[in-house]
Amino acid sequence: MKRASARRWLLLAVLLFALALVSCLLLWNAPGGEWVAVERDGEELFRFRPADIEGAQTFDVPYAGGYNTIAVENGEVRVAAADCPDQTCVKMGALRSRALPIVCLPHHLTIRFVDGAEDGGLDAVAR
Amino acid sequence: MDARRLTRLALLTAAALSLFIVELQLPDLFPIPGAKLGLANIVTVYALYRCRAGEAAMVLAARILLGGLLGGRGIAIVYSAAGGTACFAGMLLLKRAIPERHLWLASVFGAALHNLGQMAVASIIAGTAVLAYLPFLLLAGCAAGAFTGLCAQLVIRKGRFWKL
Ligand SMILES: [Zn+2]
Repeated sequence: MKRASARRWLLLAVLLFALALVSCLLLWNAPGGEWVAVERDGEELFRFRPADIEGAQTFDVPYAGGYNTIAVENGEVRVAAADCPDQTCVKMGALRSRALPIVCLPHHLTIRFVDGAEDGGLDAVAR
Repeated sequence: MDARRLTRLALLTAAALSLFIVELQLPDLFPIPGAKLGLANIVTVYALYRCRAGEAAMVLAARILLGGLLGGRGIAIVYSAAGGTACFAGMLLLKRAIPERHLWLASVFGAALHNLGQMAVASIIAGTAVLAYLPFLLLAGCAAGAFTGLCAQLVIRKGRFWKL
């Protein structure tokens, strides 16, 4: 009884692992998008189209005395620098999949691909 | 509670805190928000299987609070409290189904629950977009949970030898 039960849990663990693995592959390979939105606490700060930006550009998104520096180059968007304690947002590299936003948990910031243009423009924050 | 038990709990808390501090010094293994090896969970898992539930809960609570203070990442304490509670509650139930010699397996589920709790809080704080990282966090969590569980099993085996 005990042994059968443990085996059942092992099977469940393997299933969980496989499911997570498949989801990861699907998420990783999801296509990108035309527009990129920068959000804090789930609310959009602004959105822009990387293709519109000529050459390389960076702009800072301030947060409570801190910042995240977003860099756009050749249509690629990434966090070039930040003063968050974990630096995860910097290490995540360029935005590549519609399903996987760049996240800075300490600064409550997400950067992700979205559909279409809406109000709010890059000009408002670009330096 | 007699002095012997109290000493043991203090010792476990100290061990958990030390592991926690050591891990803060290590570079991040995965660039995934919230992913951690969770070395301090070796102690949590050990305490769950070798102490009373209430005692294990005290060790965990003390580690999260003191670790949060020492770690100095204010919000991190909320994440670890949510993850820790989910992990603890789940493993308390799993302990009945999974015997001690398969402890690592219970630890895998504990880690997965820890990730779920963490992500629930993260989605509230930072928006639901972060949920996309749950599968990545689960993969890393399963591996980390198996590792910490095996460590705890090793500690229990050695502990028997040293009559702890
Ligand atoms: Zn960051």
